[in-house]
Amino acid sequence: MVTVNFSTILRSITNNESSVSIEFKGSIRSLLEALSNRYGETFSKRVLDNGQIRRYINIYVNGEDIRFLQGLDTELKSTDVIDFIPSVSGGC
Amino acid sequence: MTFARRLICTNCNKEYDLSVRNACGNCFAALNVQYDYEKLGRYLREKIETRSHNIWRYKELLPFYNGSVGIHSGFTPLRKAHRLGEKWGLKNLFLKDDTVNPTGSFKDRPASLGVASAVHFGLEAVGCASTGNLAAATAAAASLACLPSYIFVPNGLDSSKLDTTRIFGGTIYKLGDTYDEVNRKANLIADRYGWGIVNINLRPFYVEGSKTLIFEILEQLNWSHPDHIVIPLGSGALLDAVNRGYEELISLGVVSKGDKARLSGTQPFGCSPIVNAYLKGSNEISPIKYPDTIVKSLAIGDPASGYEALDIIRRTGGWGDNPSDAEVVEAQLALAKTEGLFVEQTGGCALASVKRKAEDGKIDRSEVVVVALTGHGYKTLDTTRQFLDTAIENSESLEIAV
Ligand SMILES: Cc1ncc(COP(=O)(O)O)c(C=O)c1O
Repeated sequence: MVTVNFSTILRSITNNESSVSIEFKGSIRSLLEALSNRYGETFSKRVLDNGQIRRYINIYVNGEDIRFLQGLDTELKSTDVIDFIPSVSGGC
Repeated sequence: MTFARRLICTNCNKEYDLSVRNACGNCFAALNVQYDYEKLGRYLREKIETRSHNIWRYKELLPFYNGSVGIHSGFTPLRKAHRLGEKWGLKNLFLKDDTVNPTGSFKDRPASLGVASAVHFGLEAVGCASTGNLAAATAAAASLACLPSYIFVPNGLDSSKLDTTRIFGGTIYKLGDTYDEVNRKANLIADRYGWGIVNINLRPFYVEGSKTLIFEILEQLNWSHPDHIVIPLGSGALLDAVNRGYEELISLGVVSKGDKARLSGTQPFGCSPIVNAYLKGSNEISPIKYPDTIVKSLAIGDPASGYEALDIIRRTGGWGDNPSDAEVVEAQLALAKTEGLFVEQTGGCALASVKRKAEDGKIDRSEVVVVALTGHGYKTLDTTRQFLDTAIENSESLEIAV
């Protein structure tokens, strides 16, 4: 089971779910597909921009930004925790 | 009275009531506060000049005026640097000396607004994710508002930054090795607890406080435009706020439309994701995983307002520059020895860039240059000590009878 957490602002596209645990194997890209099946097409439409992660969203696997891993091709293990967080937060 | 009307998305222009949120629910981009400018312009300039000397001097252009919080912040001196200017061949070098804010950095400006907005929304505690300066600023503003503060920082900060935060009663949590890791965790904390984390869920209001820096610069120049303004960049939020405040005064007619200054940004070589994109002519900002610089305040590898900052530099005809740590320290000490002012490495970074640009002709000898000195040197004594070249002598070297 991977656990996926959504920061508050993203819950508008997850039917208000803050966290979900799902049986899953594959890459972040296919995780997005699985989540789209769960939440509807608007989910990937709002998360992706021209096939890339929208600039205003960061995705982390076990605390590591996927831009420092293999991006959308990052492969997930069954115990991974994935966080979706808006990137505009913070700024020292 | 405020003329703040609504939040508007910087990307898709969707509008929201003034409320506790950090980003657009439609596209997740940043939100800015919007004002009713027309009403405002007519009466602003003369009103401002009668006000007391703190950030609330410009209260119509800020959300949530609060008569307690922020009263000691802002209206810092704009100093003419005669001797340093002479050394570097600049006739009109001005220093916006934000080191004299109550906790020694410009962060007292946005922190005051962040805490004032927490009071407005009736929140029970405040906090921040910080590279060190926002930490003390948030704790101090919280003490004015009688609120507890929870401060999230990375490991390895100068002890003076931690101690000043504790003096104001802030509770410190070290959440990781880099600012970006701390920031990610602070986001999760903001979701979990009902606290106002000033630079996360109060961010739209927080960043407004930094506009007062440019309001003051323009007022102190008699509402005329300088040629260059040089701003150190961490997340890029300060430059973004400076530009927005500048545009507001232009659209209000408080300053004239033509001749807006070039806005430039500086980051240390060991952590310059925004400047790297500028220098490469790229539209993509690549995050830096492990910042490697003594300029800790600017060690933000994944700048939240990076794209905005990059765009502002390009649109205003400014430049991006990234001096080495050695140049940073050299400029920091040059300032101390010519002007008697002690700034932290961030100021050294901005000054090092000015020196470079004076040398390569990007800044003309007679142009008016304003450099933001955003933090006091006492904040980074631990880091600075290693570069000092004067010894502490013992008494035997003096010819006196003991
Ligand atoms: C002294 C000082 N100057 C400048 C900055 C950069 O500000 P920003 O993150 O808004 O770009 C910081 C950030 O912490 C700072 O502490």
